[in-house]
Amino acid sequence: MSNTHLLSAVDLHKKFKVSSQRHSTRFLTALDQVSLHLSAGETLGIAGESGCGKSTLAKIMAGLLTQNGGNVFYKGTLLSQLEQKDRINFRRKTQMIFQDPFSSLNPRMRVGDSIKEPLKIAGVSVPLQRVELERIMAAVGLPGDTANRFPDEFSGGQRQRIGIARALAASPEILIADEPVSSLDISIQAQIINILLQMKIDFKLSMMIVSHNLLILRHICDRVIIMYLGIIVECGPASELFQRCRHPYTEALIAAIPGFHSLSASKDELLRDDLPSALSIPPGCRFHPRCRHAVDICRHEVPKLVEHATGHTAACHLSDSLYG
Amino acid sequence: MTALSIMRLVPPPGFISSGEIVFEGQDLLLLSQKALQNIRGRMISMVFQEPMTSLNPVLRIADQLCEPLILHMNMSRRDALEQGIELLTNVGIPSAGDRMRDYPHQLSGGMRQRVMIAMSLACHPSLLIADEPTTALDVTIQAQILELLDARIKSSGLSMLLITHDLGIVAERAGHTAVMYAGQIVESAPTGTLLTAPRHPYTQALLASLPQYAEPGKPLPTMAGQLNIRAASAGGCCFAERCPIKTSGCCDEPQQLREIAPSHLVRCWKCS
Repeated sequence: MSNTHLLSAVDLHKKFKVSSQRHSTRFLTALDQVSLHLSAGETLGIAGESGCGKSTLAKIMAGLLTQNGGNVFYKGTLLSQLEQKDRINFRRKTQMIFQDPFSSLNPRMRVGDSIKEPLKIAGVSVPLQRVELERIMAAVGLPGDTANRFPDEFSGGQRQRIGIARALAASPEILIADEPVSSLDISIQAQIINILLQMKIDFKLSMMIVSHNLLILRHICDRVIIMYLGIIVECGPASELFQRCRHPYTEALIAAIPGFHSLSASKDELLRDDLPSALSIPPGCRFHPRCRHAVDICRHEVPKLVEHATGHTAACHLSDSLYG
Repeated sequence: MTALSIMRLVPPPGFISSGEIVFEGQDLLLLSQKALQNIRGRMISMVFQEPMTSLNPVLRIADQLCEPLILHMNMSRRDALEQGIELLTNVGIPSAGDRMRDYPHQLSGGMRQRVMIAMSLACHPSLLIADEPTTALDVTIQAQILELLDARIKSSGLSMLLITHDLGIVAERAGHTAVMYAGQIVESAPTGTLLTAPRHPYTQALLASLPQYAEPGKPLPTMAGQLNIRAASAGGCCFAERCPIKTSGCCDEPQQLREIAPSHLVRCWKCS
């Protein structure tokens, strides 16, 4: 495994047990052969419909879930083989921001204490904790005198700032954000995006951002991964993905963005039907039942991720004939 | 809240203190509850944001879907069931007969919202109020639902009041748009005009903060501060506190909506 990648995953596989009515256990495949890497200083976006496994992937990368197959490497070392000391270090260096700022903060802890918690665990002295707290709160735009308040006294946007502050307190290298702005208003959304952009520069962060909002990913990410039913269907530089996507699913996702039709051809590209259940994954290409280009080979043979241009991969049998 | 007022569904202790709501020539505020029941669901119907909470979880789809048909259209249960299947088919639900026997939790979010739409269109209303109808859904499903609403509007001469925070949806679907801030309409114009030549500083700031118009990687222009209802209703312009072009005169008295061009209303004295 190359050492240059900060965090990488090879052939990740994740199954969840689902109990059914007839006592037979079934498995839901959340991730199947997912490989990706995050380089230092890079912002990687992960997009897809609900239930495509993007949050599961984020949690595995943050070490909050364990995979059933495949490996996660942190600076070239297998995550599961890290020594206790390095493991603690990994956890400190990899921080996560969650979608819902209402449920991810302890309602009985003053926000200052919440933000200081990682510092306390890191063994930072009490006076220094206070200095750090002020610095971090200022960095995310929280008034310093609010540290003694409880989370319920804050608005959604401010709570998300608290979430970011708490993640930054551990001075991480990697920030994994699961839908960081999707529960916020547009004007607040812009503020949080700006904070993320600024933090990336100020704290030299590498970020992995999970979102279903492609416009936000295009704005903040260097590279974007598109997932569908637990697999990666396309991965490429953000700007290129939007201008020259190489998978019909990506095309459909872009076409579905309201008010964004100037970049896409027509409404024919809109997807029909819902995402199929992850309990009964279609054979062949997973996307074929909803794909308007599907031909015979798509129904039988699983397409591989093929590199079409530098750093731009897509898993579609027809990619070359459709997108040249 | 505006939408709830039209349906006279404002939750207590709130109440409608003044004004009138004129629907097809009659003031809805003067109607009795009984008369209102004939309007709600029949003449004006509503689709809510979260289809899981707006459907009854312990009733089968058939029971919920047929209720307005039986109550408003005086159909027999058998006719209503038949009509119900047709309604579900019309909103693009496959094997509608089987779905009728399902409970809401057995359907996906997109399917549930389709059921809600089928229900709201059951009695051929003349006005549909859609309150964030797609906010809880994926973009792909959102596009399907909006397409569906559009098709129904075109085919049945229905009017729709669409409430959304997504300006992309506005751009795509709305003919005329009103922008609200702190309980007031601050700007109202044909959608094209509003999006290309907004006049109120709030509308301008809102449009500027969208990532689709910004250069990737650059900070987005943001509005200072946040909505403060108390400050906004303290007298003076409701947006004065956050307004980039505010002058001392702005805080003196409430702004009036003025027509600055045909059907283009702005609540800012600086626009002329």
